[in-house]
Amino acid sequence: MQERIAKLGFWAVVVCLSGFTATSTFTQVAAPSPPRPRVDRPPPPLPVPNRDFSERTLATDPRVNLNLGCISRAKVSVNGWSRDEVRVFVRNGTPAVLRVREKDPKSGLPNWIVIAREGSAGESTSPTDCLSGDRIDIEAPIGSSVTINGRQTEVRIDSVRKAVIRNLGGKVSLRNVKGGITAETFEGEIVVESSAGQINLRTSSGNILAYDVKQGDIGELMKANTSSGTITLQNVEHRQIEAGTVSGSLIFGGTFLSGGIYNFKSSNGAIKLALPATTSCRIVASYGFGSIETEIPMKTVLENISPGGKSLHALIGSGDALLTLTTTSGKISLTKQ
Amino acid sequence: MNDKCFEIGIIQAFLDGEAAPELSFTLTEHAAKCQACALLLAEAEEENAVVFGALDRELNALVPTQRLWNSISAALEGENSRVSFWDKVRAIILPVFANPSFAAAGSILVVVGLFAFFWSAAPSDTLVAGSLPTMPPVVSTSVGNGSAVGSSSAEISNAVPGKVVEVGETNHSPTELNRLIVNAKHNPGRDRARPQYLVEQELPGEASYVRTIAALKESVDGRKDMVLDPSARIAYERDIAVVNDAIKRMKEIVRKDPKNQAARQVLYSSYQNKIDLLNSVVEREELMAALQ
Repeated sequence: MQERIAKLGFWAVVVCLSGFTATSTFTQVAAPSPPRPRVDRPPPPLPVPNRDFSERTLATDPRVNLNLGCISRAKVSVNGWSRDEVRVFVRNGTPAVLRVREKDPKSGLPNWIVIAREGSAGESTSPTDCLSGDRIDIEAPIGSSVTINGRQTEVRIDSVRKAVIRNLGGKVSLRNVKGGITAETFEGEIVVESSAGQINLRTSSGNILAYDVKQGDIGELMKANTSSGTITLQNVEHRQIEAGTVSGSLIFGGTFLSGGIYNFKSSNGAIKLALPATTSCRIVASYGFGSIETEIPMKTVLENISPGGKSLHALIGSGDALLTLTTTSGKISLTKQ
Repeated sequence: MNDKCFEIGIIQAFLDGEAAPELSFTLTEHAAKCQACALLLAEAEEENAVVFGALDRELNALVPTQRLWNSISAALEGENSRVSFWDKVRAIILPVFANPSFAAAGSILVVVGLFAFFWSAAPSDTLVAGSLPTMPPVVSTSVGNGSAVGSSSAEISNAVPGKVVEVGETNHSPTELNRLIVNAKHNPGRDRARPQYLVEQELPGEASYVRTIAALKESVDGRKDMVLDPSARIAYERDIAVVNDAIKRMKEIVRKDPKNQAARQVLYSSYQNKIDLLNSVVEREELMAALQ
């Protein structure tokens, strides 16, 4: 008994000493530190001559191909105009230069131009060769095709024939691009409006919004993929659409064309379709642990409700288009437009 | 057979061990002299090695080939030629005991050895008491019921120091005791047949998904810290976790019911999602490299 009391006493002393030490340390840390001496900020850098803006123009072929191989940081704006001329304006950035890579054999006008940093070799080989600035504004013929590779760039493209954008981060907006779009940004959203052609949109952690979009030639595909963003497709009139998201939602509002193939996938997110009452499609839905509900009357052809592997084959109207819906645990809903 | 060289069929029969001994002898003699036949033989042998290497498992499992019979025969011969241990012992001891003086000395040695063994094996109360000072006192009671064995052992394992523990004495036969001990050691869940869905069976096409994912993952895991900034990394890990969870859940469903087409489609879709996610990191890295 005495031995036990002695042990208890020993541990009590140890606990008291630990508590005392911790309290004194905390008190020392929390004590106000003496005011730091004031450090004056360094003076602003002297203005570099011709650094405020630079401007270049070049007469080109109306279907010129513009290539911006590397933009490190800028707000880029490309606008189509009715002149057969390219104009590049850089504000507070590295001056740009227009290098002609190819000329049209008939007209002799440049039909392939590289826009690069002045003094660089024209190829994006090192970070110092990349264009940068507060703003890079480009005017180009309406029939031009634009290719942009950027790091942290916010890109706005309006009224050109075709656009290809690959961007590490930043928002991409495209409007009135009738000859097809490929836009890929890893962190940022993509907005496409009033455009046509084969469209491929992809982002890792941003939303995708496409509206008033249609195919140009027969068989052109619309693809939209994001990992954790929401995909919204409004009035997208492609005969073939593939859209998929992992943890975001997928929203479609529009008409299914006769003979079309529509494939919508999500892992966790909801799939919401707002369809007109005249819709005619065949539905093949696989919804694992998810659910399906519909406002639109449909004829169930085959339904399998087994845990984890639910599926529905149904017909709306005469079943002209094929609609495939796949989700692991999302909710599928079909509503009237 | 041609004028000089042997036909490939005969060479193949020779390699398969199906040729007659005379023919085999002729063939080897000829191949030793003829360069073309030696080359043909070497090529056929190489082909055989490749084919048998590829089909080794199937051939061994399904077809009792000549090689298999040869190996079985060889094993049987080896077994027959082997002399047992007791035969050897008997062969050593019998001549020794043939001599009467050696037999007497051996008998004395055996008697002394037995006495020493029983004397040393006798229990020593002092030693046990000294080595186990904290053991609770054991009270022996006679219990006629055999079911006391399990409960008594449980009581000992949970015994509180200072408390008297009762140990039951049973009247089981040694065979019965042995059976009880074996059953007590046996883990009941170990040999139970696993449900069919838990047995790993790959679905058609699943292997290619798994291979692609493994290759991509190996490529991505080493470099994702460099490629992805913290916010992108968090988003990536979250999405991968979502997809992994989906794959895991759907796999279980598909293993239980392999005919469930909907579950299979969702599983494949989840695999594709994972490939897309991993690919996005690779493509991001490529773009970064292109811009540097």
